[in-house]
Amino acid sequence: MDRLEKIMTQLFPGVDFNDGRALIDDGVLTSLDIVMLVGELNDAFSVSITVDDLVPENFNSLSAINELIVRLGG
Amino acid sequence: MSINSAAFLLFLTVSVIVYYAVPKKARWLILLAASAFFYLSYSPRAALCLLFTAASVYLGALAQGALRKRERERSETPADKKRWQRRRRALLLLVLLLNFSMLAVFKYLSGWIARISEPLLPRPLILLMPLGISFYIFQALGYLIDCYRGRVAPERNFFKFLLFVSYFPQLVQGPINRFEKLHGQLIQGNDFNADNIRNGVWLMLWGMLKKILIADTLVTPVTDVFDNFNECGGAVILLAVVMYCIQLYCDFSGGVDLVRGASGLFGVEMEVNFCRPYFARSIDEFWRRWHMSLGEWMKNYLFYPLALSKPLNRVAKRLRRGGGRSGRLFVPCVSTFIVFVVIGIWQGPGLANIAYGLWNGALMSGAMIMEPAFAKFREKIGRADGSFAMRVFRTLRTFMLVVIGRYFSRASSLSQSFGMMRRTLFSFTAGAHPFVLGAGSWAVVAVSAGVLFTVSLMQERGVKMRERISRAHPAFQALLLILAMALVFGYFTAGFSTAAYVYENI
Amino acid sequence: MSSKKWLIMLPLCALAALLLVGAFNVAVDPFGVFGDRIFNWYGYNETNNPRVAKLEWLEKNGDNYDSYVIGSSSAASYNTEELNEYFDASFYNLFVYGCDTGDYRDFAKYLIENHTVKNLVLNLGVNETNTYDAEDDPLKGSMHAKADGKSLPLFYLKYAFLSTRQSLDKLSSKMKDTDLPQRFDVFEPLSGCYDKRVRDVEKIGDAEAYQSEHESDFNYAAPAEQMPYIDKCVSVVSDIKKMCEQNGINLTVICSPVYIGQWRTCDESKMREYKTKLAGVCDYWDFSLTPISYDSRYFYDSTHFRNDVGSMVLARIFENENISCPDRFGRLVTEKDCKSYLDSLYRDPPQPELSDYTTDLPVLLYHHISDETGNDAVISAASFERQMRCLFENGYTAVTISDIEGFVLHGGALPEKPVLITFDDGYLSNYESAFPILQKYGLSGTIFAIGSSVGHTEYKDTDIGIIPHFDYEQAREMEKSGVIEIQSHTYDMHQNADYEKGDTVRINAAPLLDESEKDYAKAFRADAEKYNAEAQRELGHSFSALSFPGGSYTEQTQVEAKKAGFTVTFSIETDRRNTLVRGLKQSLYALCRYNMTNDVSNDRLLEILQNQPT
Repeated sequence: MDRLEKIMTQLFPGVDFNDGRALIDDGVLTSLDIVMLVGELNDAFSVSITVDDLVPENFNSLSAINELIVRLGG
Repeated sequence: MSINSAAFLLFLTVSVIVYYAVPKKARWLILLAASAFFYLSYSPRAALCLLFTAASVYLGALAQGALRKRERERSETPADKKRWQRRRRALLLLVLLLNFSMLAVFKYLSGWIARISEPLLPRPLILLMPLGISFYIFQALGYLIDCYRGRVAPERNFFKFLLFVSYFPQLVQGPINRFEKLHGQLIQGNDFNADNIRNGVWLMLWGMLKKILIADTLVTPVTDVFDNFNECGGAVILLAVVMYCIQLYCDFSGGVDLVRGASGLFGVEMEVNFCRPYFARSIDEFWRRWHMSLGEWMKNYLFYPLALSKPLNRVAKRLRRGGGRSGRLFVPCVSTFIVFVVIGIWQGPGLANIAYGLWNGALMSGAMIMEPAFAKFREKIGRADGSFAMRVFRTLRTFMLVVIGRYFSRASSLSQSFGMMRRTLFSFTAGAHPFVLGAGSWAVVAVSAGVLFTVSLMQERGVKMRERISRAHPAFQALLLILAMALVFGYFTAGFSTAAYVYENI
Repeated sequence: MSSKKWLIMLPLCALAALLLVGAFNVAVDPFGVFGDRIFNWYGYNETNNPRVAKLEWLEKNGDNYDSYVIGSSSAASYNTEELNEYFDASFYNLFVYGCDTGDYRDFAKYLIENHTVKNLVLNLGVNETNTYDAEDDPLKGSMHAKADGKSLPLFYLKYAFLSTRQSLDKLSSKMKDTDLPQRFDVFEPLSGCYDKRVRDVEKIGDAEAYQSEHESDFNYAAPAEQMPYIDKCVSVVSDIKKMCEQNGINLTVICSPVYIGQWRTCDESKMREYKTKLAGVCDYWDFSLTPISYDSRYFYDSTHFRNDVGSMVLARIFENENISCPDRFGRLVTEKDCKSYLDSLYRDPPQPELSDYTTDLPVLLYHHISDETGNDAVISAASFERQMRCLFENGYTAVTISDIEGFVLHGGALPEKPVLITFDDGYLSNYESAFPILQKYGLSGTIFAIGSSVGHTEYKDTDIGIIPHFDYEQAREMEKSGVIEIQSHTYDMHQNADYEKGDTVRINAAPLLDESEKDYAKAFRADAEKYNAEAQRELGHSFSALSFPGGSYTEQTQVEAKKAGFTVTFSIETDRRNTLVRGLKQSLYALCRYNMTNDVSNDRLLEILQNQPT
């Protein structure tokens, strides 16, 4: 989780991930951001996130992203 | 039946009354019947194309479901699973190919077919684009891919599925609706709700006024300048392109408001397609506020698959190893480029459309690559991101970039685009060929655009216009309604053409 | 407000909005179906839809007429004033475009049932056999329900709830409206004719120039199918004839002049069938193929003959010798002689020689005659005499204004080598030098004198000296000799800006900058009336010719000059041939003139007399 937060902060400087806004549904992250993030996550956690995983529910918060990574075995 | 006609208003009124008059269970049948009537009144032959898409996607989706079930039940080893997946994939590609081929024939090959058939047939074969073909094909295929991905369960009743594809409000110019959001609303049989009627009517009126007062008034002078750009001064050309941006927005978003409003009368909420795009502060944001349902579709069914595709990511991985930002930016930049070229091609044949795609792809990638430099620059001039001046500057800059893009998307050839740009840049004069719009029409456009701008600004600030109007004094509401409807009726009824003076040259 | 209440309000508001639209359209009334009480602008309404608006005009004003013309737009060229004289009746021209004989029958029936009808003139062209019962536009091309018997309430609903843009167009046109016709008001409501004031003053003398200016107007494209409605057309004529017989109405059927370009597209057998079947139903005047068919100057375009030709047609029917018509111009065709007539028409088409009906006329322009070298407007007496001798020695005959009027309007003859010698302004030197020289060589001339300076040596109302002008005594002496004719150079529209005290200065007879058509017309008319009255008093005649001061004029100048009774006008242009065409009044307008100076050698003069445009 800490590692995830570090990656996120590095990728998106100046974004507060814990202000309660849903990252996707409230438009904090765009599809371009997601794609960038997925590349990083795949590398960092040695997982393989697929198109099927790219639904807002999986990316709306840090914990959701974390859950996804865990689910994929990272 | 054009949606800008008294006949459509009458047809809609009757459909709404019948819809709520029948029992809930049968209401979806009324929508299907109305859609069939609407489409057949256009062209029975075009309906065959729609039926083909509906049938092929219906069967394709059922097959996806069946194969998925077998995949679950019968795969014992990962290799088995792979095999089933390959089959599913092949089937998906087949249906996609069939439908996209049909679209391509109408979109790109019709001119060619007319040419080669001319010496062979007594009359050249002219294929007219079936109404809404892009929209229903995209919508249906989105559903098919969702089935393939297992995100939605296939609809078993063909007629219910046919309604999803042929629902008449979406047929003219979208939006491209998602199955999971729309389908339930279509078949469940919505309860009568006066709020829906009120909201729907306001939205329709708003859309119609945008279209008839602004877009339709601007068509002739804008077309005139684009057709005769060689005689026009650069200033006139720039004015015409800016006016075209306004015309296009009012035409497209007005039309979508009209059909979303119409759909709302049945209690069916369709996708939002525009969110005041000219207030966007970056091209990226513009594309998230312009033709949003197409953007969503492209994102889900083209951009993500591309961005997560193996070849791209292999390259990205290598780049990341070298450190720096290139590894990070490679995938989004390349995918964006491809998506925009596809959007350009989708708009129609010709190099100008591809150039339009490249222009937008370049802007988006450029913005990503240059972002650190921009940030530094902003810091240097001491303007925070959120300052008013910066917001205005970014909005205007984005609009300007959109305007430049329209030199490509509206022109009929790339040489025309460049010719017009050259004149704008190097002979910025009034020229001999003016922008022909009478004083009265200028006044109509100026006042309407002023109202549109004010309302949009209020909406940007979070004001819900329809709610606010509903709280106003009843007399005000009545007057507003009468005014809007009088304008609409006055423009809609019976054709009008100033060109129709019979004795122009006696 | 709750949604429920709003829902009740919705249909009420929709109704109110509809009523608002309807009330607006009814008030502005762009088709004139609701009486057009506010604007009373039938020129506009009839342009929008002549069928509907003309019938409405008759509903209101039908009592003023007792005779009617029915036909298509070529019938517009029959002048109702002339018809009134010939028939001793009061005519309304109920022509509508489209050549749809179904409408002719509807109109005839409507007229007989609703109005007093003594005479009916039915005009038929070729296109009457190409259309039947067609309605190209439900608003602009449709018949009035009172005439075709369709539902009247639906008819009114259609025009009440049409697009408000139609009404807005009427409002914006009203703001642009001027006295002369524009594209949105091409009718004269009183007569029902087209308002052709502007087209009837365009220059048409020079055949080459006319053809190049109107090339596209004369590219007649024949319909795909040749004359498919001959029987329909003939049966309509037969019906109308029956109606007329039953009601004691005098029916005149005219087959109007056809331009050769259109005639040649028509199949001979079809044409014979049409003419023969028509003769089987009634006698008719046939003007289809006549000598004028061969010259585009007699036509506005390939399917419309000129108003002057309309006058010729009526003059021929009513044997008015005062108007010149060529030989073989129209005849009454009966069942008996139809075949022999058609045989002769096809065997020996009436194609004329140019010299039968046209003549070129060079016009020379002089001003002051003096040995003091001045400017281009001065010539020495010696040079003047040299030039006159040259004319004499080369066999030229000087003609007068009435000679050329006679040629064009009344069928008179002109000498072989005619020349018109003119003098502008009315200087004393014309009397002292030119008059005796002209007399000496047996020539004659026309002097255009400025009314306000006749007999003056000072600029009017000042003591500023100017070149002396002859007085009326001298003018009378010159006219009495038969050598000189005095005509108008305007009374006071040739002012000198330096000497005038008032704010508005008219240095010529063209409209001032920003002058309204109405104001200008008034000023021009006042000037002409004043001068004509003075001439009547001093010279015993009014003026028929006008030389535009400074050569400046506009379309409207010519329109007003025509209205004020000037049959011949002169410019100082030299860009086209002066060709006089028999029967076409317009060939006398804005005639070109060559300014003569000391420098014009005899050789150059002879060149000019060849009348080549420069």
